[in-house]
Amino acid sequence: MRRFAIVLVLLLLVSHGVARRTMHALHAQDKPPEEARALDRTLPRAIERIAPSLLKVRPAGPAADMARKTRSAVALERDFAVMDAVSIAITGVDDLVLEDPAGKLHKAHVRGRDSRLRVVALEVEDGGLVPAPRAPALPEAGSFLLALGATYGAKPNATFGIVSATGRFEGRALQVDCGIDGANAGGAVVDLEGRLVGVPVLVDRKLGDDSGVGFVVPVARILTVEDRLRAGDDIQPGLMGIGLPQDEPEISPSLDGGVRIEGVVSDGPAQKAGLQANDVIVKMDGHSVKSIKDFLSVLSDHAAGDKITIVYLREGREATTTLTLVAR
Amino acid sequence: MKNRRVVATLAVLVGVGSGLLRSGRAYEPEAAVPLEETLRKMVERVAPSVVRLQVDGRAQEPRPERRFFRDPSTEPREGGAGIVIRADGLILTHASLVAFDLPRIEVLTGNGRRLPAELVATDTKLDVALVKADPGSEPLPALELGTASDLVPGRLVLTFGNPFGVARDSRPSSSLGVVRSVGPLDAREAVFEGNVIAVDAAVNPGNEGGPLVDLDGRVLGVLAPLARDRRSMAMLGYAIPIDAIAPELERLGKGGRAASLGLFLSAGPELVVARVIPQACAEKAGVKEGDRLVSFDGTALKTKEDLKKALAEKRPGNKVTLELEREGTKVSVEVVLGGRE
Repeated sequence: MRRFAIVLVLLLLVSHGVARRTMHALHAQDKPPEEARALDRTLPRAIERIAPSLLKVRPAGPAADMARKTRSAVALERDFAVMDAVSIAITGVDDLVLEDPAGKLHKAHVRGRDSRLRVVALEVEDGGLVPAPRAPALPEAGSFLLALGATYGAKPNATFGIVSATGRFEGRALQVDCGIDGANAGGAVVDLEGRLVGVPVLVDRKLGDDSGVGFVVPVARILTVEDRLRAGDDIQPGLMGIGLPQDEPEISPSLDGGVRIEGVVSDGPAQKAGLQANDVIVKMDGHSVKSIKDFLSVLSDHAAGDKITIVYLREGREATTTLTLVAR
Repeated sequence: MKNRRVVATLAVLVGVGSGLLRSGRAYEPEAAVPLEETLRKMVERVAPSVVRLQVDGRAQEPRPERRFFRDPSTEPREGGAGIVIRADGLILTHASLVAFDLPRIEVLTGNGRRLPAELVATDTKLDVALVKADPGSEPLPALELGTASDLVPGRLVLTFGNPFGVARDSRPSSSLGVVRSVGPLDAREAVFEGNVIAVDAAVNPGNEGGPLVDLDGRVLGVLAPLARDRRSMAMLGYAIPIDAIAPELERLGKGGRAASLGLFLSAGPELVVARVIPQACAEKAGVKEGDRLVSFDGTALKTKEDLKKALAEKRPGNKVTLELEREGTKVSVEVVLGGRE
């Protein structure tokens, strides 16, 4: 009798354990664990954080009439916003208004543009924008991103993806795989904390083709030219007026490498500064130049009109000159 | 303020997390495993409930999304998708798939069964259809319906279906993405006029009729053919929210038509008649353009939603008393309700 009782108790315990495990299994099948929802919860919060800085841009006039001319912009300062260059061509450049998520309208003026970065600057009179929180550093390839726009709808529209590659557009842009199209171009690309990484830009007028290859101009890049943009400058890529060898990426007359000049454009900045074919550029503005990649990276930090100091080798001897970059 | 604190806490947490990662410790893929495992289990569980529909028949008037392309009757039919919502073979799908006169429908299940099926009902406003397959003695696994009412941009979602007809073995394909936006579309191809769920997960020809689901594998909506949004010019994959469909399922399941007054109201909140459809029930009852609707069968009407609810409880052929205000005076008319598909 007693043995029977013990067996019964054991059986009960075992069956209770089995039942609990089975229930747990069922539960696990029906309900994802809380940890699995971390990303699902994080993304909407990131969007909420950047939302006050996302703006609708449209020509002044009744909102309903302008729905198809509305594009996205993002506020960088209380009186300063940017959008992408293709989008502003759709919106038009006269009498723009920016609408913030609270529905408040801000009269805006188009200031400068940067053709290298494909962005256009907007200044607002009332200084009532909410500056976007900024990511402290550029994310590396593989990092999660959200691309957000205000083109339509009351809330930002969102696409999600990762950084596909860094250093695109001669080192000026990030390549991303989140859909970049007319719905979000000119808006914001943010990290998982909703901090601004950069501005999604269109590279041509194919607004709706989501190829999974999109481009984002880092906000830090834009801020380096904020003064010139506010002053209304039209910033163009700076050219030196030289030809580079096609098939000699690593020509190295010395152990340190450098970039050999294939030829100079007559009357171009390089010729005026005394540079000749077969000179080897080894330094630009204090940065050593070992490859064409280094050369392009330094050049892309400059724009037409900038002065740049060049250290070069001619027949083994080092010389220094200064030239002024020109536009195309 | 409360929200801000949540965000700040989250930022700190994420910051600490990413700080750990950057400080040179081994990265921790374990943190992503619960999500991956959830997706794996969920796809496995949802897939058998997503069927492939093969439809043939005499073409009707081409639908808006096809009107600008070739004649649909000559197009090879790769087949779209359908969602099993009841074990006895009731399948929810997109109306475009069954837009044929006397459609011949075959349902292909994930485990390779071919089931004969017939069209139960099409709702031309919701742009969805119900199909009934005969599962014989082996019931079909049904999906649970969820709700899209709390969806916001950025929420993780999955699309299922038969894109480009790739599901040759009839197992559906799936794609992960986020909610792009929730709101009305401005697109020539869009038939459903309410709020839709636009997503950045893959939606392609052949996904229409398939489900949009959340991490729990619950149906959030029925996928529609791609549409080009005229405001952004972006091609949007989108779903018709299940919240709009669910209340109509019972009626549709009976093959029933919805009751209709045979009139259009003006835009805006006012319940003012903009147009009466010629020869329809409202005109026959003497309703005029410019009349304001006051009550429907004794129920006071304040919003368009009130009218929708009142109509939903009626059937075509029911007789109701409609109270109107015409040029400041109240008028009462008797309407024998018509029906719409």
